[in-house]
Amino acid sequence: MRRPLLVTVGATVLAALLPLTESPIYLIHLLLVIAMYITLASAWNLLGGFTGYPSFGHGAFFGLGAYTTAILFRDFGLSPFLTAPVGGLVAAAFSAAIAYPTLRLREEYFAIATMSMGFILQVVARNWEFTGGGLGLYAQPPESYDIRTIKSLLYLAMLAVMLATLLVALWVRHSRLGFGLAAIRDGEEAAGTLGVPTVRLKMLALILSTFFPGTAGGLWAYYITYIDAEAVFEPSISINVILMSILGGAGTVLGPVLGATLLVVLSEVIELTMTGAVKLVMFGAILMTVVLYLPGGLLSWTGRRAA
Amino acid sequence: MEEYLECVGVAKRFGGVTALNRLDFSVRRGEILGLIGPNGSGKTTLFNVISGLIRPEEGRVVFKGREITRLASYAICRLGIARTYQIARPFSSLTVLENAIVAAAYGRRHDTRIDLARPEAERWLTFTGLGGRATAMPGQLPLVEQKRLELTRALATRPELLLLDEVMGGLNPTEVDACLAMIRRIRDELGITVVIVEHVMQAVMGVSDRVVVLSYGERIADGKPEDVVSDPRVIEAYLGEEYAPALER
Amino acid sequence: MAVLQAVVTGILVGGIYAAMAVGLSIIFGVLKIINVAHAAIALLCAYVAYTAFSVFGVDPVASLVLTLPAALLIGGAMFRFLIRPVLGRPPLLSLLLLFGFVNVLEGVMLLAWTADPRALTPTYSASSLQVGPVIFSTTRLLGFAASGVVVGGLAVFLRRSFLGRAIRATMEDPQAALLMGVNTIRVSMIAFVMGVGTAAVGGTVLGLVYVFYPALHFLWIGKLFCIVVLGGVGSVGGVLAGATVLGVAESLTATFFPAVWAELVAYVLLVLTLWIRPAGLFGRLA
Repeated sequence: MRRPLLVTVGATVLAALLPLTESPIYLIHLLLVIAMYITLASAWNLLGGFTGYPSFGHGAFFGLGAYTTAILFRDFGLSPFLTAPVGGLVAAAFSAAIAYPTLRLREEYFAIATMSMGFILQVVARNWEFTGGGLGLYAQPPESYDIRTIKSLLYLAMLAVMLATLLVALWVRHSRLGFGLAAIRDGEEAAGTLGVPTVRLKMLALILSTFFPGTAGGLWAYYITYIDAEAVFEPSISINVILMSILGGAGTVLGPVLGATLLVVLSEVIELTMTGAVKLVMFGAILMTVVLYLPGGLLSWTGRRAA
Repeated sequence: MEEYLECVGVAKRFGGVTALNRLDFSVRRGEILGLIGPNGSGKTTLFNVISGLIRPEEGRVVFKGREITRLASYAICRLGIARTYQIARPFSSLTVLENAIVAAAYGRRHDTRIDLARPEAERWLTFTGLGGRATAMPGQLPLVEQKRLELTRALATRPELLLLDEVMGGLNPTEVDACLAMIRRIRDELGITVVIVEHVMQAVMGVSDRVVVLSYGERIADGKPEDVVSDPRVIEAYLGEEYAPALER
Repeated sequence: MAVLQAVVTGILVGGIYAAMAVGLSIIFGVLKIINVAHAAIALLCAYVAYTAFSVFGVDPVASLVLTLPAALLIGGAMFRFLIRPVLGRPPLLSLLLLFGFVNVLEGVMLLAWTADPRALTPTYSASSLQVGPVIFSTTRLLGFAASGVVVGGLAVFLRRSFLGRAIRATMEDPQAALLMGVNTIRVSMIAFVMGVGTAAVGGTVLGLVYVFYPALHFLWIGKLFCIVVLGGVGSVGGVLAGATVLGVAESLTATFFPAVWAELVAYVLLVLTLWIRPAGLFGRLA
């Protein structure tokens, strides 16, 4: 446990030094997006990979966080560093509210139910006056700061959220909770008759897996300054997050990190040189290939039981 | 005198099929109880009801004077009832030792930290003879060791009452004898009450203090093995089954 | 009066939904696999019909001669390369696999036809029929009739033909069917290909009644899931019931609330059904 911990913290600290250099803003942007997707994929993995409940609508929690901070900005003008965790809490609270009837469902029905949640939230966000309707919401930083400083600060905040997510993932993996979740994943009934409090643990995994995406979404709203239902509740966010975890290796801590980094970089390359449609085709092809030929993800290639 | 474990009037229906028909069933402390009956007589359903996997439509399950009918399965485990499954259900992505650690960490009366659960799990692996297989994956184990893993996990929860569901199915005679010896050890050395469902007739008759026979969800016989075997109702329930010759002995 | 119009429109629309949903329901019932790509394939057929119409002037219904075999071929290819390898394995695998396929399909449609909304507009597309106080749009009537043929045909097939009974047997109890000599793999393939074939009809009808664009499949698959779950998996009658309920509910919602909220109805019904009674109205498999 010690080595992965050191590596994680060390790499994050290194990444945090980036704004101090003269590097182009684009690099900060890229790393922020990578950190964000590492957060999303790792958080998804807590429920999907560790516990065996693959959520097909995890983007919904990201969107909830984004809308929370944007609304708090609109109505109270609060700073993102205060409101982002609130976004996380809102996402977690929402997930807790739907937890009981949803976590009872069989794997494939759980997937459909979570996917539906994402759509419902998207439609509500798009049409409800309170959430800005089709016009979306703005979250603008105070004019007294320059762009680079703002982006750097948000970048550092995103790194902090990513670090927190990874630390939680590492802790879960090696703790009693991790054992309980793995038992639920591999045999929920047997786990129950061996004393594992399945409902309670699933709820815990759910809340942990939704808090961080909510917080990340909260930061993202300020970063891009304008959000609408199409952008933050996009279904592809949910699918890509699953792809990232599976590509790297679900059920490990390193897997989502690897998958997220690879796919974000690939995505940027495609978007710069080709169109979004090509990205859809490519990502779809990658997903199919991974499922058919490498269901354990890239990490299973090396044969190690990673971090 | 209150029974150790008591099922009173337990009924369970699945669609049109009555699996348990207002069954009365009890277990005495410290005994090894054999539970037999033809296929479909409700033995596994009874285990599922006792261990909390399914709720009966009627009746109660009482353990040490406390009603456990509607408790969640993990709560029943923590009260001291453990079970194994007819078809082994190991946690396939965990090693043999880790499988036992889950049970040791969660199954006992109090929450147990991993660093304490680990040596506990190792002890149970040794007890059941799986000590050398700690780092193996369950999928790599031969059948007899998979069954032992089922047993190990159940024991690691430190039960007072152990329900064994066809733990000897598929074993050869040597393995059956070893298993019987282990069951006796479990009762004699550890003081655990054992209920054993089995189709291997001689095994059950040899090790049980008392035998209960189920047929179509009802109890049709209850007594010493030698008495039950010659009970005409029992022979009739099994007539036509491959076990009739074994019973006539 | 508005209520009557809404209900009638809802029933017509429900019939249209039913054509697509019945294929999905059979696939789910026989193979226990959720064909996430169903709506996307239907959409692809609509696009092909669009090209046939706009470039060659072929009437969309006539272009079924082209799209139906194409859909059957796609179904066959899907079964061979995507479904077969994951039959009997955890549902997550088939779900992800088909989602990947959907992405590919959506990307292809975007590249070939762009995101601009399209519609199939033969001469009769604007006309309508008035019976008393109620207006029936021609395309919806046509769609309803086409769906009736598909659903009715399938129902008769399942009930009367040998193959149909083999399919129903495999749906109810695959192991028993196997023991009785049914080649369940072959039956699964036929059921899958047939199911996908119905998507061709569904897509053509969809293109006639609605404006379409590549991302629409997401909206449509939600409606189809709702119908299948609500009605109960594997039951043609259930699909009809579910489709009618959905169509009418959406129609009433659009009449009395801002029309945009009608989009929600399918997903809300779906989630509520899953939470309360996953077996649906007529299903046995929960």
